Amino acid sequence: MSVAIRGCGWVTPMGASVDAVCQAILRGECADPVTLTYPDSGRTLQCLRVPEADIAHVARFPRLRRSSRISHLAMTAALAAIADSGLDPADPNRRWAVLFAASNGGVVYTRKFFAELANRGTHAGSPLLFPETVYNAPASHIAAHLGITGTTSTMVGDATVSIQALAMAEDLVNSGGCDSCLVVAAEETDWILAEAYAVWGIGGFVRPVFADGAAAVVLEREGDCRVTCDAGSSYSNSGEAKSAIVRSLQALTEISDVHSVVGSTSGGKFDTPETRAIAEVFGDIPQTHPKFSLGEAFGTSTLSQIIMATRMVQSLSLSSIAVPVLGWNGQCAAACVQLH
Amino acid sequence: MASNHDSLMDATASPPHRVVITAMGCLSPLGIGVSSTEVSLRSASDCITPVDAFDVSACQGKTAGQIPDAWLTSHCRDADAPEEINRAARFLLHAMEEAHTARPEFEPEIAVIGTTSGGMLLGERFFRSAVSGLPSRRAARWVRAYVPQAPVIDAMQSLGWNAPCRILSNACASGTNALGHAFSLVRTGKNRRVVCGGYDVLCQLVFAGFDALRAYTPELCRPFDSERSGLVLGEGAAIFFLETMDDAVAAGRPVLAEVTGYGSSTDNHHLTQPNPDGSGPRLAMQRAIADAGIAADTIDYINAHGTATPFNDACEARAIADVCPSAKVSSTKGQMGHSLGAAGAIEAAVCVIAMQNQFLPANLHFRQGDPDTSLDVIAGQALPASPKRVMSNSLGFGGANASIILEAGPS
Repeated sequence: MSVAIRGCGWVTPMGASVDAVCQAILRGECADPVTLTYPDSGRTLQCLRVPEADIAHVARFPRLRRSSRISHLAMTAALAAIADSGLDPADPNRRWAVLFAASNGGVVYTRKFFAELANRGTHAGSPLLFPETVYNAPASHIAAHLGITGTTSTMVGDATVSIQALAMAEDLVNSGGCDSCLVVAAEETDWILAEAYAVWGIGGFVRPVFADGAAAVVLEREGDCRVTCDAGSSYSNSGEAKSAIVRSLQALTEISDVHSVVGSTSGGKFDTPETRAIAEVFGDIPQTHPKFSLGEAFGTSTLSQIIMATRMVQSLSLSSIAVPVLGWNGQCAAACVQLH
Repeated sequence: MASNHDSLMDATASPPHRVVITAMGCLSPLGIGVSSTEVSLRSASDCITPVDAFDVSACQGKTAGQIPDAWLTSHCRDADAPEEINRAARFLLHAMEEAHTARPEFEPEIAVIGTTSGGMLLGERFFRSAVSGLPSRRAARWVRAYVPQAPVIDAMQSLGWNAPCRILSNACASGTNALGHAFSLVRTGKNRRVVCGGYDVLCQLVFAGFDALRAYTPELCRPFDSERSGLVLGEGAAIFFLETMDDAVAAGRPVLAEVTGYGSSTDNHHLTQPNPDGSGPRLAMQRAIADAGIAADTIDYINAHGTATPFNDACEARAIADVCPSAKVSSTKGQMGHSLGAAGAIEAAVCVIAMQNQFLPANLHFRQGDPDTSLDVIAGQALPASPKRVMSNSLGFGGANASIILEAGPS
């Protein structure tokens, strides 16, 4: 089962133009890092951030005036994908759905809200901050802005969350649950997030470089450029992870001759299973790994891989590109973007 | 080992399947397991207790539905992890084990689980550790287990399952959304065996949030009562095994209930308040009824979202009165509190228990409804009945509304 990609949009640390950023990634360019400072210790770390100017316009929307950065990022990418699709969400003859994917959600507002409790007591929470801490706040804002009253759903997970969102969209579109499905992923950076992954032993200070951003696609039943998802499986160690990716990639090769890979490696300790799986399934195949340019933005990075693959099949005469994803929290999955 | 790769087939090529629940497990302040839940429901027990997990002395609300640690006897695969960091995983494992005991051969192709706050309890601990300047040796575990899918994967791996995990987080509608999405996956033929449900663990951040919004009651939780003053939180988990009716019948497996309809809607009125006209839940209920292909007046019972906040109950009562005016209605949150992302799953389990055991659960602490709406509320005590077709509603922050229709399984 597959679904057609009708439009793509993103907002990245390297800009908001899909074509220009894709070209820059293929040239091996990288986003310029900015410095995040820990509030008390003064420690710093490098991360990649979307320029404020690229999302400032949506902050004026009524639902977004008090909302968090992740909602601004998500809205920007969503509107870009819709514009690219040429569709109008206000068209009364089309039923839209919104699926939002996140790995860490609104960490900045959550940290601020909980800091008040930790410092002043359980009674001291801000009623303005709390609603923005829920995972589905960005999806709600997008649906409200676009006037969508159909399915709006938020999914949470490691980097594979966007594959799960695409798979759910596949089901919605192909079962007649909607005519058009907007899938959006967004992530924001914060010192507490970097600290968390550093404590976990995954990194954040050298490689991978954490990033924020958002990506979005509009999906429909009919169209030439199609994505097929394999929801993958769970793993508990590196060996299982490699086997899981191999199974997912092999499942995809049964439906298509894969000519290239847009992978999820980012320079960290989780790269090895994916690298070995790609070699086992495809041998020496051309590969692009956008996280080395755009940074590690978890589920958003995965949707960016899909967008990158989409533009590559559309512009480089590659009929089929595999997108493997190794999540850091126990899941592997893959997708295949094809031009029919 | 379960394979998910069948999902690459074109699911639209086959006719829709009938979808049934062949096993379930649950735990909530009502009890651990289906049997003890039934006992508490029948006796209309009030299982709300003073909050003891954190200091609420200066808060408006001071009670919640809580699961005692002593009830949690299951242990996850991550055996060297301190028990307290795996509370969510232990909730899930208890519910999964109960279902698994009934159907040990069931191996899911995918898990679809709803939650609102996921591992926030661990996020709180990590935050305190990070800002203290004295990082805990346990901090790495807290981070790993904070992601909402982590406890699901931990619990599944304890049962030897490696299925992919899909976490839905649509605030308080999450559990019903998970059941609805799983229903769709089986009905369309995309998956044959799905484990689904919801979980949430009481934590300080969420308690503080509802308290800050003045949504927490300082007294009893009185769903649909004209003098209701707010919700009390709860916690728990419920898990269902879903498969096709054909597979269940062919294997001679008992059917607990059939899932026949699902509807969802998005209310764009406000991030935290429903449109007072009831259009959000009305649309979800109408869509579920249309999906099931039934007449609204054939629904015997509605397990309402019924949080006991003034806004929610007024909105939902209006919708129920419009769509299913003849149905008997109760909210079971007065007994066990509002378990957020788990609520829809637990309340679906309540519906199955009610149909199997011939009674309708009580709506505690109800005295008199709003003057402008007339619901047939099951006040105070469980009601002997023979419900055949029931609906469960869930309404959440962000305008997320969901309704699911369940029918009694064939005898």
